[in-house]
This record gives sequence, structure tokens and C-alpha cells, in this order.
Amino acid sequence: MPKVLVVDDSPLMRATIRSMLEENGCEVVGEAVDAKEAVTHFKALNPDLVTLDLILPGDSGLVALRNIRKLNPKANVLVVTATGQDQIDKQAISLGARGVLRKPFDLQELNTAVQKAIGS
Amino acid sequence: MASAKLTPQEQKALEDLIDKGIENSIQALAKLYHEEWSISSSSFRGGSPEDFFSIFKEEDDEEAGVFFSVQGVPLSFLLIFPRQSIQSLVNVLAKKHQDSLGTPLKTQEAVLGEVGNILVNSFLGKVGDFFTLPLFSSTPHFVKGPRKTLLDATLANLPNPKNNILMAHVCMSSSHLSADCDFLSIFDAAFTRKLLQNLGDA
Repeated sequence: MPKVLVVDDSPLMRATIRSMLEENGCEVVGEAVDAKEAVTHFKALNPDLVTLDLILPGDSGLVALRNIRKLNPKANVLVVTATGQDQIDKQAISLGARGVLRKPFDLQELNTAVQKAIGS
Repeated sequence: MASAKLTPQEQKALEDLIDKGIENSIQALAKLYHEEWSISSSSFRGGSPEDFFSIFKEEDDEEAGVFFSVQGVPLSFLLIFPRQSIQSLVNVLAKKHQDSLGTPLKTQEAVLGEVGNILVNSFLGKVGDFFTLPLFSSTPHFVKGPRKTLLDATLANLPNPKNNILMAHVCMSSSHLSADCDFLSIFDAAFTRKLLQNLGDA
């Protein structure tokens, strides 16, 4: 069962993503609300996958992505973002994200993106 | 020197852009909340911050607002939700996760923040790719009070120059929901001209 760390400042999104992941057979091992917490939890929990919002209070999710990948260059990070701009997607991929999932998404889209992120 | 106010043609072009951005959000909202939504924007009104304070002066109803700035550009947004709409949105969108959202106030903040996030980023998604730098919105800031208080809080907290406001009335409905909000775009005219020019050149 893949272990997932969910990073999003919105409690509604965290709850939604959590319930969808659990429905898809994942175990949510932690939640983080900002970039600093994301890196701290990543170090402590060593998840199989991180779902990462880009718009966070303080440092953006791109900073968290960079730092997580520095800690572990093989880390699987799926960016989950409401920002529908190609250049932001490209930035995330260049920093090592395994995929970019546009928020909001349905259960099937999340499942596909998670499978692709963990499998790649 | 270019005028600090948009011309009627420029305002119309911006209204069309906001319309398209808001239409974008229909698919997004339907996906997240598993219902067919319809959404429309209408009744655009433009003016200076002083004009809007004058309009809001006599409006004392307690409402809720979420505001967003955009990094690096003089563009911000304020979404104002009346009391009935707040309750309608909370009833539909927070039902499944009520236990984890906390107090009624925190639930309102979470729900309106997310709806605002989708609407604002639907608009930024339409325009962002026409700029050299990506347009990152802030996280939502939640405020409650009469409209003038919401606008005051928004303007006081935003670092960018702001001399124009365009307000659109947005109606959202699904089988279990009927809600509306006022979507205020707060911007500098020079930046908006550049935005419209970039879009025109595309």
C-alpha cells in the first residue's frame, strides 16, 4: 500500500485528497500545510509519494519540491495545483516532479496520476 | 501619459476575459463536487476604490470575503459572498468532511477559500501564459463584515498599486446549490493595458 504525504494549506483539499487516496488503496501517513512542514515531514516519514500544492503560505510548493528532491533525488512528488499555466507546469517538471495534476480532479484522474508518479 | 482609467473598449475586453475565466471554472467545480454546475457572470461595474467605497457606504449586511494578491504584478482579487450563499456553499461542499474542518467559522473559511482559489486561478490560467513570468496567486485571506470593511481589508493588505476595480456578479448553481458572489478584480490600468495587448498579439 503506497504511503503518501499530502501537502496543501486548505483543510478542505487535504480532507478531499485524503479520502480519494484512501479509496484508491493508499495510506496517508502525514499532512503538511506549508513548504517547511512538507520537508520536515518528508524527512521523518519517508513516504512513497508526496502530493504537493504549489500555492502555499510562505515559500511556494516549488521551493518544497526543490528541497525534497535535494534530500532524495528519487523522491516521487506529484504536483497538484489550481494554477493552469503551462510555464508553471514546466517549472515543476524541470525541478523533478513526476507529474502535474490540475486541481480539482476526479477520483480516476488522481488514481492515474498516482500510478504514473509511483511507477515512473 | 496613459490614462489611469481604462477606456470603455479596454473595460469590455477585460470583462470578456473575466467571463471566459469564470466559465473555465464550471468544469473544475463539477469535478471536485460531483455535480453538474452552471455558472455565469454579469453586471460588470467599474470604477476607482473611492467609487466603490461610496457604493458600499450604505451596505451594512455582514458578508464574507476572500482576497488574493498575485506575486509580482499589480493585480488582486476580492470575492464577496452574501450570508445565504455562504450557507449554501458550506452545506454542499463541506458536508462530507465536516468533522475535520472544525468550527463553523473555520469551515466557512475553508470552503470559500477553495471556491475563490478555483475562480481566481481559472482566470489566471486564461492569462498567465501570455506573460514571461508565471502568475502565482497568494493563498486566500478570509475576512468578515460589511462590504466596505472587506474592501478596506483587501486594499490595506495588498502591496501593489491599485487604481481600478472591476466587479462582476457571479451566479453558481447545481441541483443542490444556489449561490452568488461578487468577483472584484483590483488592478493598475497600465498593467491591464499590457495584459490586453499581450492577449491581442497572441
